[in-house]
Amino acid sequence: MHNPSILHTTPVYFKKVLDYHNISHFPSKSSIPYISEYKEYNYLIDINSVFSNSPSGDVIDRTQSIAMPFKLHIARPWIVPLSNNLSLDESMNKRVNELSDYNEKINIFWSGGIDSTAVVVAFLLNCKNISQLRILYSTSSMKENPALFLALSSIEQLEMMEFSGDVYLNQNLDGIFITGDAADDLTASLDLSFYQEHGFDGCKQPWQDLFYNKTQNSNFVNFCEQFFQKSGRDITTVLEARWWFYTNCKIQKFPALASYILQPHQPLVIGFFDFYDFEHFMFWNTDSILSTPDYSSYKNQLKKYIFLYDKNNNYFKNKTKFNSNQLLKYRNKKIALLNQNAIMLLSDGTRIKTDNLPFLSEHDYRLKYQNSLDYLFDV
Amino acid sequence: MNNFYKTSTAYKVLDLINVERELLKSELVAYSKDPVRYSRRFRMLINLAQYEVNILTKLQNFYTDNADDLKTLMVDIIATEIKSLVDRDA
Repeated sequence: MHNPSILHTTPVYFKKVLDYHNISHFPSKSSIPYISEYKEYNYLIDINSVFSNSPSGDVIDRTQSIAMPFKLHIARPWIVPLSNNLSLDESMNKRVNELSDYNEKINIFWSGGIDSTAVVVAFLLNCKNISQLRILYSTSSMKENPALFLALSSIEQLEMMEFSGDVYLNQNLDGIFITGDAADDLTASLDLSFYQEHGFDGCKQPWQDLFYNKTQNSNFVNFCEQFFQKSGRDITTVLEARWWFYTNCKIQKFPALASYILQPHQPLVIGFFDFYDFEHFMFWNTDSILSTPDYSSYKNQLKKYIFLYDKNNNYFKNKTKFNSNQLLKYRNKKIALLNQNAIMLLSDGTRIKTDNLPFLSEHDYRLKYQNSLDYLFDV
Repeated sequence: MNNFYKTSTAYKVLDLINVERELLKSELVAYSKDPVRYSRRFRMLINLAQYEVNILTKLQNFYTDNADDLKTLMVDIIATEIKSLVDRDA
């Protein structure tokens, strides 16, 4: 069996661990550092900085063509789709069947936002056994989508559990845990702040202009030309470049972060949209990501999918992407209160942590792990 | 390494906790007739006290021969953790 690789790092600790493993690094605009002598990896961090004013989170390369300074986990290597096989409905149905086949309780984190609401709808439409579902919600979910909350509450056999208060601190629920994660990444993760800064026309302009204006570095732009070709399709606009970067390099971030809300022995969180069929659907339908200059047209495909179930015209017309950070607030509180800080999370769910975090020294690190993690940095 | 940085860190941590504790104390009074908020503030005070015990114990047990391990960055992390503990939306 393979040794687990790195799924998520906490930069403030991880930088120190890089020192312990004699990996030279220096600050970038992101929370993660540049690594000396890994120029192409550092360019990936630069792309993140072009797209975000406060970039954070690990960058991966699912094409596995760029040298990485440590062993980062790739759950799904990039595959160029050859044809557009499934519709959105069909791919959602297939995903529900795949997850239902675990024959375990399915816990769905429902924030009330577009992505997690589409997940709930997908299960309600396609899951053969509604009593297999457990919807985990908070007061924020009720505020964000009150109509659906009422509708869900009236469905017999559907288990609803409020996850606020102290519930999330001590829960020990059985089954698997699903979030609406990866929908953002696979639809270019178009935040309102980026849209307001660049506008509809800015999103549709050639990406080279933006990249050069932000960095004044033609070597960087040349690297991106090569890197974007690995997507297997034309990348012409800023929005397409954004779609490719988030799809290829950032898709694992949020499920990993959400996993900290669970107990260490529970399985890692599964991003519902993190599967090939939906990814391939988006590959062929990037034009639909933002169909009109109205920001509320962002994610219209998913909103249409929801509308066919709930017939909520107000939600369909007016709902926009909103960073539902309730789960992250719960996570942060749980980490602080229950001593669940970690230096990194490995692909098998192991949390690498020393006894006195947030205080970290090489003495504590070596005392606990000796050289057992050297393989992660021996690339 | 002498205990200067450890003591300095303990001072900063206690100051951060005290600021939040004073705020919660005043909110206990303000919300004395609101059972939900009153109960939440009480719980936050207990959480804060539990965190204080944990963080001071870790600090006491922590060993390093590098003063940088105890400089400002760790206090920033602790400040963030304390804020998340008393987050009124969490």
